[in-house]
Amino acid sequence: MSNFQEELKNDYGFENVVIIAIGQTNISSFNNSFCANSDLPLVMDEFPELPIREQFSPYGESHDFIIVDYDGNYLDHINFLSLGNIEKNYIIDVLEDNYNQIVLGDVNGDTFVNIQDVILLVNMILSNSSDNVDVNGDGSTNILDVIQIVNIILN
Amino acid sequence: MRVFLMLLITSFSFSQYAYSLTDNNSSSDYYLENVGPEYFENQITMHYFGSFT
Repeated sequence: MSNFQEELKNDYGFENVVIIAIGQTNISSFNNSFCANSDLPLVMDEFPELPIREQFSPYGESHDFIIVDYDGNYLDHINFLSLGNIEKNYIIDVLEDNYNQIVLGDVNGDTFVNIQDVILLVNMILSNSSDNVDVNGDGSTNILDVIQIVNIILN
Repeated sequence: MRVFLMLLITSFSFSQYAYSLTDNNSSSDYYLENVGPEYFENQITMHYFGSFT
């Protein structure tokens, strides 16, 4: 899996992707074997409640691989025991469809959403700029879009 | 201002997935840091669930 992340970055240009392995606290062997062969982050779902699995429900079953977008929302999933070409191609297709999506609220185009975007948008509104930065999707650029960006930052 | 604050408070939105747990992989760059979807800002995260007994 660690190699796959490198493959995604080096061969396909998906620099901004991270794979996180989710084990469970009562399987020490998973931890030991995983860490010996991978440099990916490994977090442990607390057994027996398994709250992360619950959060990802109805996905999050054993060997589920779940792809989550820039905003922390579900994109797609695939279940596999071993990562072969079919599985890799499926994941790459999903990334190709979603990787270049515009980061919501990124007014200045630096791929980050922060106070600079708020300032820029406020200035655009005050100067009656003709640029359309419709963050909340209501068809116009106004104070509601500023609020939406503030929410994105706070969350 | 009051309307602005009300809109601000009532229009909070949340990510579908949000957790922050310690990275247990000593080989990882994020070892012992709390990671999760929000930690990796502006990145697509992929979550692989291991075997459940």
